[in-house]
Amino acid sequence: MTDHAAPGPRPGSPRQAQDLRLSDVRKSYGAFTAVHGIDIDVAAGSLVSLIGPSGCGKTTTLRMIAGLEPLSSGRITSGAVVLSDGALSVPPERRDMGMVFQTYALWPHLRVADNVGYGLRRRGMNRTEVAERVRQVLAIVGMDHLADRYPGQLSGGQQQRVALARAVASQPRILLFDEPLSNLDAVLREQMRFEIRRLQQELGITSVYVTHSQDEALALSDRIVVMESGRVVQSGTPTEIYDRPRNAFVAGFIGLSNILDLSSASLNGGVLTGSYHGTPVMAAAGALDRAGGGMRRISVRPTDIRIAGPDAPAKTGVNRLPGTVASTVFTGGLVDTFVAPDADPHALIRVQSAPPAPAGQGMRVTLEFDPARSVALED
Amino acid sequence: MTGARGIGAGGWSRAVAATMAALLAVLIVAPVGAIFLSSFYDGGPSLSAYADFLTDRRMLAATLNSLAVATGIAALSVLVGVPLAFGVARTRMWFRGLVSAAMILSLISPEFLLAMGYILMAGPNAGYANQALRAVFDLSATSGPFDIFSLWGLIFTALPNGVAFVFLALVPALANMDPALEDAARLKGASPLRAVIDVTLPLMRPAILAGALLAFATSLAMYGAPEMLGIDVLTVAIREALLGLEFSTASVASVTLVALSALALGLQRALLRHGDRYRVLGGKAFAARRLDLGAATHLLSALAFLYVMVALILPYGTMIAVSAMKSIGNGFSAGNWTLQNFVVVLGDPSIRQAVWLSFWLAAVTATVVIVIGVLTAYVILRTRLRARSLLDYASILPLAVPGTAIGFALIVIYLNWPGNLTGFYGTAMILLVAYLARFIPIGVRNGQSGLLQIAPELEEAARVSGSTEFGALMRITIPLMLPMLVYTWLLVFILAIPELSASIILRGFGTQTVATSLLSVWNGNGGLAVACAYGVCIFAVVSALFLLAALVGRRSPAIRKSIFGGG
Repeated sequence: MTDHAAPGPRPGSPRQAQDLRLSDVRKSYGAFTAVHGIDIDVAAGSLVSLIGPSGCGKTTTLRMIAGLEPLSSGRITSGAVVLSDGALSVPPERRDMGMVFQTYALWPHLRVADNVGYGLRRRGMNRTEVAERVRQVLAIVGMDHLADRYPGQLSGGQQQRVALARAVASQPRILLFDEPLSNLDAVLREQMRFEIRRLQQELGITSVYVTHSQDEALALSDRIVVMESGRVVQSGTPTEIYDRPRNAFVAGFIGLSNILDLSSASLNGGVLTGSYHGTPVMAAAGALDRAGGGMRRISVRPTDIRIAGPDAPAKTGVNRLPGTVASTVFTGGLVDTFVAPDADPHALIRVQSAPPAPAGQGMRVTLEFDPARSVALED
Repeated sequence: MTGARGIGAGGWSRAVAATMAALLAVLIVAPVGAIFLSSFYDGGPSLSAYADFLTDRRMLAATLNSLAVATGIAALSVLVGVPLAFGVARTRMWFRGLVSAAMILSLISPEFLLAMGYILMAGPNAGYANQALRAVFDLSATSGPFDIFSLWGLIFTALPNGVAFVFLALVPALANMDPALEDAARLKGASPLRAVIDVTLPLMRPAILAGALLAFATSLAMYGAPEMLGIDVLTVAIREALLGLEFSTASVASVTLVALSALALGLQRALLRHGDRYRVLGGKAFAARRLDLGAATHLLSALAFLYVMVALILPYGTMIAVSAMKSIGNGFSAGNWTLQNFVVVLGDPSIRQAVWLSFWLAAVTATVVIVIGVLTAYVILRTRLRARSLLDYASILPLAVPGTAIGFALIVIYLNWPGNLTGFYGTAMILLVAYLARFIPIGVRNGQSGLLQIAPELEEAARVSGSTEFGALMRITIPLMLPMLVYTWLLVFILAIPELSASIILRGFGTQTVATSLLSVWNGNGGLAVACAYGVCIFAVVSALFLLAALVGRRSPAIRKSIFGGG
């Protein structure tokens, strides 16, 4: 075990990316446990998002990685370096990390250049080296023309760029993001999302990104870790998480989902067959290895359902649910159609399609969806 | 793993916490403890001091006087302060700016200056107001109608200070009230005034009570005015007992005083803490509308005018006028004017010595207080050390201990072993210790409100960027708190220069301070006119410095909320 986080190579010079591993990391405050022994592996140079509703422990986890919060137990390591081992912890200033805060946390009494250069000075670079590196980094985020401003004179988006520049200036071993885009408006958020991704990939810095926005997580990440109540519910690539949600929570949190309850379910060769209030329905078994007493739930994405006429001919291998359109909502790029299925008239199944609306209120329709795009859930 | 440690509980912050705890123990906990312990000690543990106290008619009278004066001031402060606060915050009454200025001045200006002004105006025989009234109404009496040397006179003299506490507690609460609360009552058929009475005033009850309790506690603690007016209250009785070397009497009187103030301040804090039911601020700043009360507006204007005249212009005007008189007996007549009194004040070597000592004491006190204040606030707000709430309580303890009682406690400590080994007794050092104990609460409270304005992420960002805990404090936190620190320094300096109640007990022959030397000039060895000139100089310096502090204060939102830490 090396005994402390080495300062690493001179800031500014390219370096070998290091991985980051959390093993059985637990955090409790008195009787309340915020994080229940989680394991997360971040491959060298990749970006992993922690996503979940507020209070799920994602920010606490990030702060433990930064060294701002002591662990109750568990280990955090990066490469050969142990960052935290139980209550023992390398202090934040010796962890060689960069962090972008939700509020940006730019120091209001320092000019942009001094904000960005602060960490470089602390790492022992001389004035001319710092000035040169600050200029480079500000140019990367397109802020070099505002180096002499104070943070209070910048817009939200500009502050965000400075915060980003400050975090990457010293070529840190690990880059941490704490909901960095939540204070920006929608257009800027999307633009910054791509910029963060581009910068992270260009620099190849191992990164952890905390967010509660599924759009950000899906667009940015190499892998997504979904958390709920201090536990990891599922982790995987964005496509895996979206296409194969493990349970109803993940299905509902990452993307929209219709959850259908099936009875008399049986499992056969990777296909789950069951009855939706009397109508036979099939779904991909996913990670499921047993039918679970006949009661099962499946998830179907609204965009995976097609609306056909009431008399459309049955096709083999396609699930069919006849029903009546309860309402339609036009939201710009998409039309939401809510259909009450005959099998369970109290339920509403949501369908999303490109405009124009495929059917009007009160019309009889048939919903068609592919069993391969319907996923059996664990709970 | 070497160098590993928990966050916010690193070796550095532990060392700071330990140092602060030790300082607060010596400066605050020891004196407060000494007051209580000495009251139970008479050659061994004993309650005899209490028995003596209870059978001592003079002490009982002093206690009753203290209670009567403090209660009277608290009640009258509400009666005067509430309409004035309402007028300033919610109506188009005239003199709003003047009223606010008078309130601030009565808090920063030493109490004995106001007493001087009132004595000159309302002394039963020679008071100018009494002379004028007797002339106007052609009265044949040689004294009256006012007698300032009475319980009512003392209440009247200290009233502006109490009114200011009620006023300053109430104005922000009124100004930030959500106007929708009154609108809702209006829609249900209430008149504007009815809405104020039914909705606004009940919502203001905690603020009013808190202000009144603060007025009560500070009235218990005052020394200068009752001493000058010859009213035997507890603070005066403590000093008399000490002069007569009756330590056990002084200790029980101090315990009584501290217990009463602690009770009032404890209630005040509880009121402000459990104010959720009355919370009118939803985290959003409202600008309450000004009401049009018609003719009633000018009833308030008249009250405001009367208040400004009585609390500010007449007493200070009289003091200024007298400071320029050749002979007080000749009063406001032609040919009675001179600047000679100021020449005497500026040329007097003992006054000059007192001024230097007070400036030195005030500067050292202010500097030490902000250092202790910032570091203690940092430990309280930014670490998770278990001792931090103890530091919090210890640091506000002196608020409940009147200066007279602190003075007594320090005598007990520094006359006996081991305090006597320091040799502080009778020197300027014991005054410094007293001043530090008195003003540390301001440093810690302002330090906390300054620190609360600085998001912890700013320090965390510095840590992640490679700063140590100490480095982040020095390079990020302290520079951001600078306006607050300068303001606090000036405020403590202003309050320390005319400090009287502890100084008068602790001064030695060579350690007269500004306030004690002014009092001895007033009491005979210089004459009232010279004393007034001296008072005018003090008033001018204090006001000028406060103006400077107010300018600094504009730069920090935290300061505007925390003037004097009260309310």
